Amino acid sequence: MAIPISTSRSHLYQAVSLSRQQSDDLQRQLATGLRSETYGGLGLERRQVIEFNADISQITGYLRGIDQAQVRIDILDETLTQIRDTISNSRSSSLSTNFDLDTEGKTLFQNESYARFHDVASILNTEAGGRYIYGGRNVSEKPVVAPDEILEGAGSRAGFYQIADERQQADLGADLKGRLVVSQPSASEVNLAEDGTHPFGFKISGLNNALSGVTATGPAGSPAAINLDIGANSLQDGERVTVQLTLPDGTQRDIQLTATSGTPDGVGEFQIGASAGDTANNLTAALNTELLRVADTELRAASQFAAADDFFDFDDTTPPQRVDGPPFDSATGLIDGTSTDTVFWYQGEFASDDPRGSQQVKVDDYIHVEYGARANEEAFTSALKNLAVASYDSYSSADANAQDRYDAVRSRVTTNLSEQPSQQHIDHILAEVSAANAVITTTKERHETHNNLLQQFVDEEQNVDIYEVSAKLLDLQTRLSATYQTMASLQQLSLVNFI
Amino acid sequence: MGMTHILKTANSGLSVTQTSIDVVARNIANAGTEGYTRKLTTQENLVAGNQGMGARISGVFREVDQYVQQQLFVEDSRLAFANVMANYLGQIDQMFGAPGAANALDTRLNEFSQSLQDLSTQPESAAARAAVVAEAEGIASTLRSLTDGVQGLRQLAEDSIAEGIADLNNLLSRLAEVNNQVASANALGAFPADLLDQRDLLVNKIGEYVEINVREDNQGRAQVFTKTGNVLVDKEAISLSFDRNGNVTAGALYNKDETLRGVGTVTLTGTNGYEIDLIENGILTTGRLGALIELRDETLTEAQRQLDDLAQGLALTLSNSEVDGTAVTAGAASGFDIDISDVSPGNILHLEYTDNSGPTTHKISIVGVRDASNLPLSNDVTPDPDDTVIGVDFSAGDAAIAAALNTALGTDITVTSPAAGTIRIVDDGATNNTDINSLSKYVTATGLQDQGLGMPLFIDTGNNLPYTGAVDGGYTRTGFAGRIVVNGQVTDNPELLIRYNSSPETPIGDNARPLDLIERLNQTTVQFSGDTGLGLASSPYSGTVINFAQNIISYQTSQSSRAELNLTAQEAVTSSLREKYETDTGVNIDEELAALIALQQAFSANARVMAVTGELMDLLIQSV
Repeated sequence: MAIPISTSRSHLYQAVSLSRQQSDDLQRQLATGLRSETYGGLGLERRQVIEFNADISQITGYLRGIDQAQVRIDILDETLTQIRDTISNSRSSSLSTNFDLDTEGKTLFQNESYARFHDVASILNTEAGGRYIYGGRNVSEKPVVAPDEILEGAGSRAGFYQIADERQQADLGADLKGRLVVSQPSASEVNLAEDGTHPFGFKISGLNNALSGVTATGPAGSPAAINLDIGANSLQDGERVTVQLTLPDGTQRDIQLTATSGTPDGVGEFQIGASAGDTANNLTAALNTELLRVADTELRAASQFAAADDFFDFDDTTPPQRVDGPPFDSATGLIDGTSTDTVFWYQGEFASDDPRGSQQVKVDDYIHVEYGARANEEAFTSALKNLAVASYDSYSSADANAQDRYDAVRSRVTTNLSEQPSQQHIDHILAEVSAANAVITTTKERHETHNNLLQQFVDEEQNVDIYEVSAKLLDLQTRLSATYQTMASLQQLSLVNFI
Repeated sequence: MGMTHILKTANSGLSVTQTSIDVVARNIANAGTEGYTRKLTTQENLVAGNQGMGARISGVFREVDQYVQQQLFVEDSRLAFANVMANYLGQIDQMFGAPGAANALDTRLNEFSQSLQDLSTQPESAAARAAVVAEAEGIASTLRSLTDGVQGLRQLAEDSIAEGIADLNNLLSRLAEVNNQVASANALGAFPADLLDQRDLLVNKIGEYVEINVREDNQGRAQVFTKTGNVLVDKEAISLSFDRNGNVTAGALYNKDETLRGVGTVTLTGTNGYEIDLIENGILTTGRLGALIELRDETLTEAQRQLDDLAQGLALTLSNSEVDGTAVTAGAASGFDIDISDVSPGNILHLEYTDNSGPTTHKISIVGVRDASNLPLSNDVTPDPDDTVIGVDFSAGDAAIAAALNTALGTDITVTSPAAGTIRIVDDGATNNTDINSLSKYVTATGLQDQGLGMPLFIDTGNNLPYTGAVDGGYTRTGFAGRIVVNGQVTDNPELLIRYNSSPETPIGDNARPLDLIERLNQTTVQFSGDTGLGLASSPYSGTVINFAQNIISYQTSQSSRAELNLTAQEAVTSSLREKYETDTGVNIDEELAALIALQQAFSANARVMAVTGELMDLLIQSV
């Protein structure tokens, strides 16, 4: 800078005052650590600083969301794994044919199932940071009521055991033949009919007659009935008639009646009598016996699974179903359970959309990660149903049908707890959750890298390097004091001092 | 030649030297006086008859380079302009806060977005809901205080113009007086050098307020003109007046039409009584006044428009949705039905049809108004440069609306109302001059529940209603940034941020609404108005609300740094010019002292002559 030796000192004053301003600004930078107090002072990089600050803020938001979601997903993953292991252990236990009964008339598998039911129901009430993760969007209420309440009821509200009990009565009927009536309209005819139009008991679904000379009709009519007319009594030894029955849980059970000319000694055998009337009587007796036996084993087992469907499968429009009674053994329909007479085991959200979508976290501009779950999803409900059923019945070693009935339940549990095509399985949920976790983890890494780069830029542009500023300040101070000295010398150079 | 003659001659030398020393003394005394120019004496040989009679002072002069002086007037005027600009824009820069500071507008928006993000991961948390409400209020209050700031600066500009005009009137009349003193001094043959200094100082001061041209008449008066040639001062000063508005708001704008003008204007009343509006005629464009007027009517008004557009964008992005009409055929004609029962003033029906004669595609924006007397609307009502705007009073009843649209859209398009609250727009069927391509509506959710995921989170405190973007009848975009508040119902019940349906009630763990609001804020592209200075009228800025806010900050604060740069450059120009002027015309103490030594020598030489003459006379007398 040229320092003019002239009458005008304005330039010099300006230079000094500018240096002072710069020095003040550097001191401010040193104190605040900020390059400028305003956006205007940031220069050309201001736009980028503003944008990057916004990006950093957004990424921080995403990362916070990710952190929270990750905790929930981890917990979800862990609890799902526990449920899966429980189910898998139950399935293994269900293969055991051991029928040792304890004092309560329960097998080891049954007692295990009871405990496992409690485990699963409790797991479904898992909380993560004050929110229930198995209730869909309803995060503030326990999605599942207490396991004891579900099984045994509370006060006036019926639990599963009572519902199963009532259903069993309805399915068996007063005469324990599964709501079927055997009659002989004429001496040579045997008639088998459902006792009414209702969902209970056996349903006659087919008839396969291989008895010579016997005229078989049906199943026909409503309620369905079949008719066997012995006709000329020309049955041959070993010929069979098969009645196909559908059980309340949708499984099929055939009753086979085999004609024999000797004394019947096997299950379902009947003697060919001397006349058509005798044969019809024998057939009737054999049919009655078989009905009683199958009802006491397969039907009772199936009834428990039907009761489980009635009790566990409900939504916001269709409440749990229970037998319209008492009396239950002659009931002809199901009615809606109400919140005053029935335990509603699931208290979470009902919705028809994908349960995973009921909890979402936005982890990037266009990426939503879904990690919701609802305790009433098929995989969970199925586990609860089978464990509840397995724990329900109690047996007596005096009961000849007990083990068959137990095996009927057990084998159904084995099947139900195996992975079935077209049914949701816990592994499907686990796979979806791990996929969500993978997306979250990679997104998080990407955000962190990006955030570091942005932060570095913003730090460089928005904040000052203390060492650089200190050096500048020192330099400026040196120049300023040089200027002051020069000015002082210049003042001395006036003629005033020499005359 | 006699002895007394010698004495007289020496005496005249003494008196000339004394006068010169007097001038030097005045120069030294005034070395630091503003506007003082160095005075020089000239002396000449005093001749009587053919005989030299000694010396005399022929004049006291100033050394002024008129060309440099005239330039200095201009540059001083520009410096005053740059100074005011930098000062005001610096305050705007300050208003936007320190980069990354909690009160900065972008920080507030970022925090709002972040609070929604937090809410989306924990909608059941009352604290997270309260945080969103607080952050929303944070933005609203930032916009309100920015509006207060901008309007405060406009008020300051208005007040400063009023003061400036008063000062200017004072300066003009003083200059007229000094002018006349100079003229009479010149007429008397006196040397009015000091009066001229005063005159020039006044001219210079006037030049700081407004750019002027100066001409000196033959009697030494400074004739001052505006740069467009209007006389400000000659023998008399004209008078300026300003009708100050004591309450400048966003809606108070300059207009040539006095009935529409919300702020003051400067009127020049000539000595012969004619009047001229100096703002309307673009005369006040530099100097202090020029800067204040540009700030008040352009720079700050534009800043307010940006804030208003941001407030509007924020409110509408969160509350409005584009809803498609349903396709319909009526005989051979086909088109769309649309439910207009939820269309609020300012909401828009978007109609697109093809005129098959071209074929050309036409975009029609049907905009709802509050009052039919404000029809027709200008095409500028919507930011879209390609559309044609038709204003409709949606409260007029279905039949009247259909009839109005039918007339506006011409014979090849038929508008009817097939059912209450529904408008049907169909083409001309078999004639096939036109085809209707689409019909949709951009409507505001005015309620907080059961109207989709959007919500009127921000409302207009003017009428305490959700902001709908109305274009007439008050509570429009103008000044909305100063009226924006968070919907009181949400403040009272922040659960409304989650529960978008009332029956069945949305569960508290449902994060659909927060997620939707984040996307609206960060991802929905909005077309902003063309008059904000960001983008052009022909291609208005479009982007997300957050991007728009970033642009505003960048634009406003860079204006400040540009003004600061201008000021620095102007200071350099002016100061080098002033230095040259001062070096040429100012007092240099060294020069003066050197002159003083010379004068001292001259004085003692003259005195010596007198002493010698005296001795000679004594000698003569003694020898007699």
